[in-house]
Amino acid sequence: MFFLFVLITTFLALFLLATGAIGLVVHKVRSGFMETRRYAYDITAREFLNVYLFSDIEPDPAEQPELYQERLLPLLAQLRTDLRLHSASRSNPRRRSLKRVALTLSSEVIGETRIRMTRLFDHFGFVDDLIPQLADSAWWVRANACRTAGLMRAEPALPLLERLLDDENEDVRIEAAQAMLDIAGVAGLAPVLMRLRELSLWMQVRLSRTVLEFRGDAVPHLVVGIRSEHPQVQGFCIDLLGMIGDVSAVPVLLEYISFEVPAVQRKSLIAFGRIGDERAVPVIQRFLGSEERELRLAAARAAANLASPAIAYHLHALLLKDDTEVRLAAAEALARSGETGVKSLLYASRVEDRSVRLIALQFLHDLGVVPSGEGGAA
Amino acid sequence: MNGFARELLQTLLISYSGFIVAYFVAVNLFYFSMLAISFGAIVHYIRRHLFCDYRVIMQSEFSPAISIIAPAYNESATCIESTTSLLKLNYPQAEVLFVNDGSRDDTLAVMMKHFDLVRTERAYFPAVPTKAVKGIYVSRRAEYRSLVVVDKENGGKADALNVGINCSRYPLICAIDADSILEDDALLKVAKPFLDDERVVAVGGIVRIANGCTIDRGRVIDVRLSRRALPSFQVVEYFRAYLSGRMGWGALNGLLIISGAFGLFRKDIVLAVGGYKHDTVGEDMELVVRMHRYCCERDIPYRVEFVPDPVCWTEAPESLKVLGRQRNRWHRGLLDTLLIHRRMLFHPTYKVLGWLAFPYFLFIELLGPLLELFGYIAVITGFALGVINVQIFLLFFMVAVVYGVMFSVGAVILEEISFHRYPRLRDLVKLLVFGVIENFGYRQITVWWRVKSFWDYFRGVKSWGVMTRTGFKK
Repeated sequence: MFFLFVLITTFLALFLLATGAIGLVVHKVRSGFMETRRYAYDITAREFLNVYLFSDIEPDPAEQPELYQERLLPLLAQLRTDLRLHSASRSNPRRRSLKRVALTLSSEVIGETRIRMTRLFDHFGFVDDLIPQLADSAWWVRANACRTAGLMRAEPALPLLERLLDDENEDVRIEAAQAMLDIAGVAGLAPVLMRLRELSLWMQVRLSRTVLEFRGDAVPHLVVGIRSEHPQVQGFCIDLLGMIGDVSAVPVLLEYISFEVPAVQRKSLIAFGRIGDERAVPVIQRFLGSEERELRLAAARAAANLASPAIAYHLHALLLKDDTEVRLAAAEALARSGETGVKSLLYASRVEDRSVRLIALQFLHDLGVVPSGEGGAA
Repeated sequence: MNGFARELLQTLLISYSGFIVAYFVAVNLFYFSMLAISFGAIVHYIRRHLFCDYRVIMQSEFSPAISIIAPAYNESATCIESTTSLLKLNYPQAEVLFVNDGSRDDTLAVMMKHFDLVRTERAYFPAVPTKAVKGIYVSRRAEYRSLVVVDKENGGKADALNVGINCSRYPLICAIDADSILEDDALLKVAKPFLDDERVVAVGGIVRIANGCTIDRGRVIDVRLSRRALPSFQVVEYFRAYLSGRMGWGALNGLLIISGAFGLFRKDIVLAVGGYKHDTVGEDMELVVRMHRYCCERDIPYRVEFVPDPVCWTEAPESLKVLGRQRNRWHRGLLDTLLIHRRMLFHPTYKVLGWLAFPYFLFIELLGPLLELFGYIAVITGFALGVINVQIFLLFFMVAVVYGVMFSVGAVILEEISFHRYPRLRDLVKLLVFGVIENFGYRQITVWWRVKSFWDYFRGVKSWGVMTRTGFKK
């Protein structure tokens, strides 16, 4: 009985093995063939899409939008004829090819071409296809639909996207937030920030690129976002304000640094360093004497960017007393603080503590200053 | 042989056969489960991959900075090419720390000349104790400003890595072999888990075999199988180990090995556990196990991830002699690590590690070759004594081969449905064929090397053995 069982399972395994191996080879051959066919379709679609996107058309869409939209219709009809897209079936390979090519181009087009692209997605029913996918039970379908909605600038998807900011899956939330920013622009930023509950580092990486492209326009929205009750969102807004470097953010950062929340204070200090506004000098000076090591480190790093001789004394104290990482940051700040800083480093290069000496000598060496004890005049 | 001895031997053989059958069933059930878990993990990875535009990591100031540590010993022939390829990697903020581990050849001179290096007064603070550092050099040329070359007394690979950790400035450290080639986006991909989950403390990337591939200026431009059999066998083995092994362990948070050729670690945790251990040949595995222990014992939420996509290409041994040395060293490293951390076995503090990963590595990976060798001896003895039923033996042999092939083919299928890096149909067919014929000869040789490593270990052999490399095909 046992041997019969072994024999049967072995033959089953053998059958699976043979099926798997043959299936794999067939799949390889088939996918090669499909790839060639897809490539051919894509070439054709790209060719006719270029005609649609770059044909001259009057009037200016900003002046007469309705007439402009009307004039686009013959071009769209021509594209339909050229690609033989009389069937609206989703499985039509030419239609799929058009969608693929248009989505690839979509992230690269701007201005009037962007309007044509959005109209194309609408006209061929791609936006309509998308809406049910945003409510699909599979997370990857929802996430992909969000991403596609953003690329299509699908305004009808906005209410659903806003709802998906609370989705259980993080990838869906990221794609929904990104799509909202793509569709609504900077106006979508504050609603996104106020709606989000948590932000992984990946989400911050994703969203920051778009937000930083808004530059100064994003500052008022980030100031709104800073009022979020979620610390990660607050921190993200502070980071972005620092990266944008707009001095109009200084008052709100000064307000937030006064709250005794170390994570917010640390990020605010880094932001001050990036913005480089003189109003931050007294605050940085205060935090150089903080009891929290992370805050002293952040303050020293901010001081390096501000390069203010006014805080050289406090930096000198850190260089002499703190741990290696803080000392390195303090020494770097001193090296950038002009003559006062160099004097301080020269003094530190002669103290008894070996690690202080080594750090001071490292930065003096980088500055091209040779201490007198090392065979040259300072 | 008298009757009693014969009877005793027969009883022993029959008992051993029963044990082997039970072991075989358990092992194959386990492998099958791992294959299924890996399949699920790869499908999940690919689905997530659909929404991942790695260029945003490249463009973001939020991306954590990485220190790449490349230890080198007598690498004058390859150091320029490998360092140049590291400097070209796509990543927003990274430094390359080339650690010359007291090379006897002119590695340092070659580096100094090519990269226009100048000695700095950069302070060296050994957070992890190491051999003395003789000098730290940086380039005068702006294009190499992220390169730091550290010259130190010879102390072995682990010591060189520790020097790199001490000199590193960034929160993530990437340990790589100086003679490996990383794909341009490898760092972006391997850094992604650190962005996804703040609990991640280490990430291992897949290592692939470059023999047979065409390499141009430090980049693999055409992927194909080697024409020689030995590297091709290793390709199938690597698929099994990485795609159906480490992928599954990563999903279970039980990954004990991150290849020394390519791994990314959180520096604070590496420093907290004391860096790489000097007196073991399996320093890569030992470090990961120590990180697991550290986090489990302190109840720190953590994850050790495996990413199947970032690719590090390495040159596989092309001769049996060199391959034998490599496998012997790997097995000694495994044995050493399991002995050092034997306390973890079935210990509830270590959760999945103590109950699953550690027993797997002990009873299947480490002791498996011994049991297999005893099995071969038992078969020969059994035939000599005439106590083996030929039909049953053939059936068992067939079952063993079929299951062995099934896992190899399973790994090839995983590769083909996920990353299909071998574009040619011919290579796919070859991989399937090698998955079958490795069971007849190659497998038995590797068993012998691994068994021999026990002998070497208990004799106190600690050497790496000379790893002769023929160099990448250009």
